[in-house]
Amino acid sequence: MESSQGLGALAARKQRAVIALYIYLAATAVFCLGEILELAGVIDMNALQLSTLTTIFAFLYVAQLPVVIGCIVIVAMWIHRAHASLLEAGHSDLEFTPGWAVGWYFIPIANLFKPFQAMKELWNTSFGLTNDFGGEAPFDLKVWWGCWIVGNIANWQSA
Amino acid sequence: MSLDSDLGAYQISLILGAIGSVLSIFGAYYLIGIIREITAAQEQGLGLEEVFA
Repeated sequence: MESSQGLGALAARKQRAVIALYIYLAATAVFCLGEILELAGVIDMNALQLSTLTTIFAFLYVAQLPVVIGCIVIVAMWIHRAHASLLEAGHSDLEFTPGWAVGWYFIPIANLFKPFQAMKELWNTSFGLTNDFGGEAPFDLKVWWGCWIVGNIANWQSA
Repeated sequence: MSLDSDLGAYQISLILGAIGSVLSIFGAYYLIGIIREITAAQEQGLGLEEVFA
């Protein structure tokens, strides 16, 4: 794919990723509201006889799964395209290939730090910065990754 | 005693779930910004490089 075509595809995938993430934000906010209502005793997921409100939240919880899976696929497609665009623009000295920039998310243990390194490389190369090992990462990336790791651990512990 | 500890564990799991959800919301919000900024940087930087090459 030519560089201009790649950038066009990247813009289209950005649009889809942003929409998917906003849907994910809404679904997660509903999930959070459900947990707060459950803590307050307004709804009870363990009751034998579910109330109308509890049934609505039960359906919303189930509906969150395809939203999460869809969001992962769409954001992964953007990450792959963004890395591929760098290669097409002549950046041949990259540590991460487009495939592995996505693939590392699915490798246990390595997924705690490798995806962050890949995103840092993507950010630094896109902005024309040096991507030295151990170099300072942008603030946005650190906040995103910190929230991602701690949030996932909290969600995993609560399951 | 056992029922009390079960209820306590259940509440802790709900609290952890709520904390995880809030962090996921923040993470997704920042990821939206990252995606927008990287795409814009590539469109400007890589696109112009190609035009001026």
